[in-house]
Amino acid sequence: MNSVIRNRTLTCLLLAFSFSTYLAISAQAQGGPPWPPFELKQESDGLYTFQVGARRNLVLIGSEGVIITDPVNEETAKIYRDEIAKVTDKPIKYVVYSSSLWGRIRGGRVFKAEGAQIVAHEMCAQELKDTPHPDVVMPDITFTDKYNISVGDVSLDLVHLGANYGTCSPVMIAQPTNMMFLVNIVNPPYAQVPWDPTIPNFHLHNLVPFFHAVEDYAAEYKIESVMGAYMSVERRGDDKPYLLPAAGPISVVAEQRLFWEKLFAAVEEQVDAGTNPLKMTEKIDMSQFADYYGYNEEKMKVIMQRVYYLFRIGR
Amino acid sequence: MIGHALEREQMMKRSKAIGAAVFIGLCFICVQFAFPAQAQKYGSEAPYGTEKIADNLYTFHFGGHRNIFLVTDGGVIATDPLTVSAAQYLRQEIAKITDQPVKYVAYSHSHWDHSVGGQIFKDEGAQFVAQEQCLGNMKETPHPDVVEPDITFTDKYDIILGDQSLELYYFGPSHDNCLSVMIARPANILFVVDIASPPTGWYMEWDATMADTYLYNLVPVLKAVEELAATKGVDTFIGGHTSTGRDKNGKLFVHPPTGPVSAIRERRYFWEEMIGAIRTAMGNGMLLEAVPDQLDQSAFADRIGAHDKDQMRVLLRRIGAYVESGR
Repeated sequence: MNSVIRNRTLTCLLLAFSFSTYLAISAQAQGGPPWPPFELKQESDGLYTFQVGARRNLVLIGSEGVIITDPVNEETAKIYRDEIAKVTDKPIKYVVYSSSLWGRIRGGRVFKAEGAQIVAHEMCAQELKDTPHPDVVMPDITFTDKYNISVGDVSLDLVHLGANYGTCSPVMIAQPTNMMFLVNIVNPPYAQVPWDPTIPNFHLHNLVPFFHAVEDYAAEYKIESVMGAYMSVERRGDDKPYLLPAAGPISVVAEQRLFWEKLFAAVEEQVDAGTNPLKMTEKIDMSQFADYYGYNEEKMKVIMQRVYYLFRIGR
Repeated sequence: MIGHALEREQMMKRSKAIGAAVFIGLCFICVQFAFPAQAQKYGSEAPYGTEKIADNLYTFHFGGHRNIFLVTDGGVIATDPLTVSAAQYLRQEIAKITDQPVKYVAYSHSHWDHSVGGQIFKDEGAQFVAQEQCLGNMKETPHPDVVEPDITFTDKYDIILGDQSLELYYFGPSHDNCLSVMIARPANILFVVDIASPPTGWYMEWDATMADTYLYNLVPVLKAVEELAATKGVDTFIGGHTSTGRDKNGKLFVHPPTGPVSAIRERRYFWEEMIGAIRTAMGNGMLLEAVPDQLDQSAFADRIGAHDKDQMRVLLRRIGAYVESGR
């Protein structure tokens, strides 16, 4: 399809649908997008995704219980729990945080009250002590490099490969499906321009090494598919919005790394030339980015302004 | 509360015009002279100079950046080398005042635009001092021209040389996670880099994307610096950047390097007003994506010198992300 239409339309649709659960639900009620405001969907044996608004989470249902990721907020957590109860009577035993950022991890008390344990990287626990939120439950279990959560015949591997989006966001691999799940940093099926142009909490200095580490890990453990934590949509010939598949080939990780490498190289060249950080898009050949999902030049202007500082201050 | 509001209003009137000059000056100086290629182009022509602030206390500026140094009969305590070129000029400037060696270099934080160039001082035997997290940062993001600190500290460190001292205080992450403020004694002048600039706190933030800034802790750190100044009887501070203004004839001039510590409080107000407005708006249902365009800025926009609509949109977006995510 025409990539320009895809990119521009994606932006419009994502802006319209937003990351707000309430917006998604109200949009449906008002005759919004042609998919439900929330849905628990089976992806493979024992592996489900829970989509609410624009967010997506993993749900692993095993012989001994259930593992979920990110409760989102209290209202969503109740819907989440109720939808899971429709397909299994097994208890939700573990809730895994993808980061310490409040936008996805509020509402965990809904699951904690029923006996679930909260699992997160140890840096998330430390960060939540610095930035507590009344609706965020502190982790019960923390790990440093790697942790495996098992609920019988399914499990979730949590692997910390360094700072990327936040300092404590792990790579997750659902087993036995061997599906990787990444939050915020890669969103299949396409490599894309970051949603928030100010790229808050992106550890730019470590992005490329992180991506290499993910690719190496995927190669070592023969992981071929990756799923993202946000919906992607596109318009097709009939001009209707279509929800894109949740998962994509693992090659999307390398494609996303290439986006950052191209961006860094382009900005660094301009930093060396003394270009004003607010004028980068005037000097850089923007056509090299135009085909990326979510591209628009105004957004790239801000992203490049932020990347300029990577080369000025080192971070 | 009423007194607080009146005080803010009075400061607003005085600060807006000065804030415009501060921002324009920071932009002018930094754009013209802080870019590597420009620095190379200007070389020895880059604007630099030294001013005496008090007995044995000096400030050196190179382009838009500034540091301080203390001259004692036991040696020199310098701060932030800035760049390789700047450090060379700084060394020459020090030599004009004293033949004492540079014994210490104190880093305000780990960012390259302040920390590069120290080898010239290392070569003469200086020890480098920084908050401990700076060392970790420098290992994580090494730069060939940044000298790693020899001495690190957690919360406080005093560099004492002769009858002078430089006290370093760390109050938690703010701009960078290891930024310290410093008090030069006996001059009793505070040196604060990047989180506030004299003479006013009401200026457009230079980097609206807030790179490597810990928004959640900015206000507490500024408050801690205010309390430090009050406790230590400090009423004057120097910033880490120069600022310029225009006189009545339109001629550009550089503001004096020092300003009142009240500007630090003004800077705290700057953040508090914006963060508060966004928090209220988002609490009332405004979506993050709508903040840049729909937030009512009437309570603070007019106070901000050189208010820039486009950069403000970026800044509001970034603050909104902090309000939503906690960081």
